[in-house]
Amino acid sequence: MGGFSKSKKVIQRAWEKFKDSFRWNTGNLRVYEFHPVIDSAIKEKNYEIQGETVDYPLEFSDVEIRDDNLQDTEVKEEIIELEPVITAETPPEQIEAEVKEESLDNIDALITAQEMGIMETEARGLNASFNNAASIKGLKVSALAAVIKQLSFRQVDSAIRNGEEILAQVPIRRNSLSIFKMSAPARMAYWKEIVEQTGKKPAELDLLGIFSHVPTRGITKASIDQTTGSLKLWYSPDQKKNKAATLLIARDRNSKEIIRVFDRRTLS
Amino acid sequence: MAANTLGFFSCMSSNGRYVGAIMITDAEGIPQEFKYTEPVKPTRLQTILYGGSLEKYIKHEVIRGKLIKSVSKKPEIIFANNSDPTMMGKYDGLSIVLIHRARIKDLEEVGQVKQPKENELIIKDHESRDPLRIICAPDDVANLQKISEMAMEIKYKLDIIEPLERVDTALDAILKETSNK
Repeated sequence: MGGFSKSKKVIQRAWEKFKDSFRWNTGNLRVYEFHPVIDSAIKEKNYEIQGETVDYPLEFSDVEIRDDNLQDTEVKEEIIELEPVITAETPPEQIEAEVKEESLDNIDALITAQEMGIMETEARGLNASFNNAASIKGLKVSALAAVIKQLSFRQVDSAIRNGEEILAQVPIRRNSLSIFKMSAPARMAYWKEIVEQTGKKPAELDLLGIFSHVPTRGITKASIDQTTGSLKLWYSPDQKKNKAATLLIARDRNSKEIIRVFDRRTLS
Repeated sequence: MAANTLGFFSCMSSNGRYVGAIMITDAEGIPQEFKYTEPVKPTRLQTILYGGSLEKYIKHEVIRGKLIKSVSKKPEIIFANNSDPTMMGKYDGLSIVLIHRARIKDLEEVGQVKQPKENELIIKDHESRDPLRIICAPDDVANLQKISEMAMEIKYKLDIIEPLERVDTALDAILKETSNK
């Protein structure tokens, strides 16, 4: 057995030496000092010793490595309360969802002790714990419950408006009749007859246009395009019933005055 | 079919907004009623939920349907411009037909009529204007001849296209006026 104790001493010395060298070589580094307790279960076997010392390999049992530094470490559990981050864009107006806060009393109604699979007393205890925790942190414990008020999807729709005022801003357009479709004598007779109503002579006037079915009342504004012979009439929306006539528009060659004559007859 | 009351309907859209109007006039084009819809701009949710039928729903049900119901005087025929062929057809007992001027040279005499299709008629209604092209829905062909007669009856009273241009001008003004709201 003398061989065993010798071997053990050799190992221990080697271990101490190893530790020393490790300690010195680490410099300023933090040295974790291990205190391995090597428990060796030495099993004796009935080997036959035949005059020689034989070293047998040691069978190590479970090695316990203790770290004294860790032993006093206090594990602090920090509870971080995470609040949901709402990043959604502005919801459509039509969807209305109401988030309602309810107290824990209501939770009791929703989740019974039986549903939770715990005894009623335990459930009360849990509630009390919640309340205590709340009072410690100074927070009001409440539960968030989403209540879908209604999914009020509105159909595409539009209001109908009366637009007579808008329409009054839009002129009625009339194009001049072509009196050249008439025979030459008929044209001259018609022209002479119309001009007589102005008190002028035909030679004194330039004809700008003849327009059929022009309302005789309710015209708030008129303009004539001399090149195209197009007449624009702004018509009052109040005048719904009106008589129409043929309108002759001419210009006095001397005074440049615009002359209008309504002819009750229908040219067409 | 007496042309005592004429109806003119138009619908247009700009920047995702839809607007429509109906004008009722007498035989001389003098306005009797003018109703329009406030511009409709569908929300994102509506766009998603209506999908491909959104535009049709807005134009047909919201705009055309509501406008036709809103007018107190109901003309038998309502004229619409050629911008949207789906607008023609019978609605609430009224016929909506499309009209526009077609540059067809082979019709020169006033009163000449051409019928290239069963539901389409081309009329030379005035000596100084391009022929009038009238298109009705296939199930509304019976009205085509009446419409042709009406167009000839009013040819010297007014250019039947002109009131439609007025409605379009008014709609343009409405869209512009409400574009910043």
